[in-house]
Amino acid sequence: MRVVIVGSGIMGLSSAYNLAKLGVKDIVILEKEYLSYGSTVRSASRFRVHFWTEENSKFAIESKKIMVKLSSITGWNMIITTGGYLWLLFTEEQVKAFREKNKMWERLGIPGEFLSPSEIKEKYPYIYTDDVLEGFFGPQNGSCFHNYVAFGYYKAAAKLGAKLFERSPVERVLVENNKVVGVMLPNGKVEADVVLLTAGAWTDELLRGLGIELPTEPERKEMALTESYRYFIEPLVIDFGTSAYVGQALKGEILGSIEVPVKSGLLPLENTLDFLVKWAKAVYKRFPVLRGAKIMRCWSGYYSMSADSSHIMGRDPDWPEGLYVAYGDSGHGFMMGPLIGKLLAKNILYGEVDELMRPFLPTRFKEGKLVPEKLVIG
Amino acid sequence: MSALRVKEPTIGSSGAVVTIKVNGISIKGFTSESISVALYANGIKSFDRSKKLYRPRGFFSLHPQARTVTVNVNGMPAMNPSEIYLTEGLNVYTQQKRPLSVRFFESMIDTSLLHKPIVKNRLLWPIALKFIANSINNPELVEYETPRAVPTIVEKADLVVIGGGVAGLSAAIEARRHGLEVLQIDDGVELGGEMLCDELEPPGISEPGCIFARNLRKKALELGVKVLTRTTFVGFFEDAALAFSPYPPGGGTSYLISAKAYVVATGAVDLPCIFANNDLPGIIDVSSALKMLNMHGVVAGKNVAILGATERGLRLAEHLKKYAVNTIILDKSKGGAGKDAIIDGVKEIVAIGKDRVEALEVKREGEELRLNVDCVVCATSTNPDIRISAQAGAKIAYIKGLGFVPIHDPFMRTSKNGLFVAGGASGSPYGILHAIEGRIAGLSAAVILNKKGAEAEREVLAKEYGSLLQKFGISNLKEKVFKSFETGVIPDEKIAEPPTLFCSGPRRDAFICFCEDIRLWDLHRVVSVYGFACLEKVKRATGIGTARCQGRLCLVNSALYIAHIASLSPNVVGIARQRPPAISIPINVLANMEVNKT
Repeated sequence: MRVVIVGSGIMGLSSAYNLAKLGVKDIVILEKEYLSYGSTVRSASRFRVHFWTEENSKFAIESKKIMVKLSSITGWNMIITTGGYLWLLFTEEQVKAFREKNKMWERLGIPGEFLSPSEIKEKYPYIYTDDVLEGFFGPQNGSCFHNYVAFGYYKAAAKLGAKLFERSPVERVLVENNKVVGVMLPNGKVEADVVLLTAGAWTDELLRGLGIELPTEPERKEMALTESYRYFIEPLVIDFGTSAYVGQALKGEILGSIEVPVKSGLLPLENTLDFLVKWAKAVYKRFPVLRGAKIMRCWSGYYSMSADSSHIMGRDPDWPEGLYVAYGDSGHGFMMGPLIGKLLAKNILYGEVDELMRPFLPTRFKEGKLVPEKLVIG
Repeated sequence: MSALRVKEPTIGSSGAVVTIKVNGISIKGFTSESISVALYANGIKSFDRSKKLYRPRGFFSLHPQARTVTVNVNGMPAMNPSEIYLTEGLNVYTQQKRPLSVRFFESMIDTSLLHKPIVKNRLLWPIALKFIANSINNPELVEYETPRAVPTIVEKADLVVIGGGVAGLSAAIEARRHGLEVLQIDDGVELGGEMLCDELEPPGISEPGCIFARNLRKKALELGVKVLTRTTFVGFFEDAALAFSPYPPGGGTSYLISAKAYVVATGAVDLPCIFANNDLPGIIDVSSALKMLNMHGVVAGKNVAILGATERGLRLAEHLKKYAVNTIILDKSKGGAGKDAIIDGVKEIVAIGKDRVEALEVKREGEELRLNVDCVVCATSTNPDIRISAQAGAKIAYIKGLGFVPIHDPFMRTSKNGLFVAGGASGSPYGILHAIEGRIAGLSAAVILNKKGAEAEREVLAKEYGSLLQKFGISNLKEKVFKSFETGVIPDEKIAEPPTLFCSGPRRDAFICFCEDIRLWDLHRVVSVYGFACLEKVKRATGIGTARCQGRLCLVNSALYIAHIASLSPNVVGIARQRPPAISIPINVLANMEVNKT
């Protein structure tokens, strides 16, 4: 059996690795630019387990278990840190909603901790807390090094025989007799029994080519990064008022983002000064110690946003046989990637639909069984 | 006067003598010079310790964008010593100590944190993590009163000329002559560029370079070109173009730029030579050596080794000889010998010294030499400064002999509409070519703004340009650029070995990136073990080009080295994507901006 995977981000690579581990010999990964060009290497490289819906939280808990083991599986140091996520809350409603959710999180074994402004000050003296009502701290969350996650998965998959072809943009999926038979490249076709679309923000176009419409669309997000400073910001700090977030990489760069209004679609991967200034204003207020810090670089990437802000994986039985997807992750695909690949591999090979995976099938939109995820960061 | 200072500074009018404190000790300097120059003149060459290995580091280049070292100034951490000019009572601290605890963890942090047994262990890793975070030599942030922010200034012009050297000045003059409103942005103290540092007659010009440059400057100012000095053009955002002047230190002034056309005349970058211990303080680039001598009256050393018998290298030697400096030129190619003070056929160089370069061990065919030197100048090759043109979206290609160049036509148009290149930024080597290219670029800007007569003048100049290229023997190289522009096809160029490489194997002490301590060995491993030969991937695996100098000093060397060991064309390896800002901007400055003002 030949599996063609379109896209070499975390979704494609972890699927490739898991398929290869289960014995698939003929795996071809097609990438339109270079390894992990799309969203994976542009991500904020964080993982968390606290989601608004139980389905996503459960999924993330299992995914994290794989993530923290990746260093020993792949041999690349994932540079896992668990500094936690700190949400700064400003209104009674926000606090109430988080208290309500924490009951669910406690039940799932991932209780968070509510901190008063003075407790925040004590733990993280560099945060301005005068206008903060309360903080919610999720100690189970953390960061890893996104590039090595991608490269590690790739190397592990390649060792098991998966082949990567870069600069091979797939133009469309070929279907005969309601069964996928391959994909079309500019210079010829690649035959396949199974086609897995993991092309992130570019997946919509490929699906549309098959007459399949799912409620997803790309949204450009921007990020900025300072020069390196001594490591001191352990958690990822999320300002629920401005939607800005700030975190520090172990190597010292302080990075973050803020939401700016933007048209959806595949906008050019440029940056706006508007974004940079808005983020700087948020940081200026929240982190007085960062006022003298220097912003060194900014970049942009896409969130593949789905209608309910949860990822889409698997297949719809109405689709041509052999067609699978994993995308629409709405900004948290990087952290879900390890488990998505694992479950999808079993789904493709044995038709097995894991209980964790079931809520995220593409059929949920026509069945009206959405997984409305409200905790989207950035 | 210190031993290295041989004459009064010639730059500016405000050359007053002031006293500053460096690590508590008073030294004297001039207000016209940056901290880097003042410290160097007083024999302080090591400013900082490197990020992972705590090796002593001085500046390699005085260019504000080539920022590889930081110092603490008046309590403000991580300041750029080449950007801050002296004022009375300035308090500078350089980092000289190396914590003992680091030595143990050095082995864990020395290679971009890859492949170490301890990090694969899930139980040991969290413990190691804490130590590693503390062992990385990053400056500590402290809270300080940031200078009162200057409100954003909006600058509108027909043409913005980025760079104030010979090419930029020539462009500004021509455009101004045709009635364009011209804004010139330069990061130096005064306009004139590198030719301001040339006391000799450059090829094809019948007066000393400094006089030629000053005359051009005078003409531009007389014609009413608007000038921003000590200001860096930061880049093109989707919604705005931004320039930034880092004064007062710790804060700065931001300019929102809007223009109909841009001429990029940012000059060329001297590439660091790659050899063992090439990161030692006292190893600098040729443009800094010239600048220190002819602007600040400071010689680079008493015994100077110049790497590369290139036009620039020989020119520096000639300058230094006037001040009784012993110079020796080392060159890779054979056949330079016979001329005095040139050692040819050099195969390998090892620099020796504790916290500064003290000697060079040179291997050439059948012979090993030891040279006692106090300064090494890298002059083997340059690459156009492509930061701004690449960021704007102009197509970049590697042309052997010119480097990675923004491809353009004889009218200096790039593949990006309204963006022109000229001078060193377009790959041309000589001042006389920079002048004519600048003029053509200025006329091209006038043409797209429909100024009468500009097109006819440009035709005439383009002919003259063609014959000048012939005369200086680079017409076949430039033809390749023009052809690539015309056809859109990027040539398949091969290189045998990077011209900057003086090293036979992938050594662990030959540095390619001074910011992140990345060595030939790291690059070699990523290419040979992991099979990554595309610069974007190597960048992500090693961190090359991601730190303070934003790849100004390392990306071209890396691309050429990877092409060399993987036997690929540098055009296949590619150059990593360039993004704004070109120079780091403090958060307090950005936070005080109002973008919607335009």
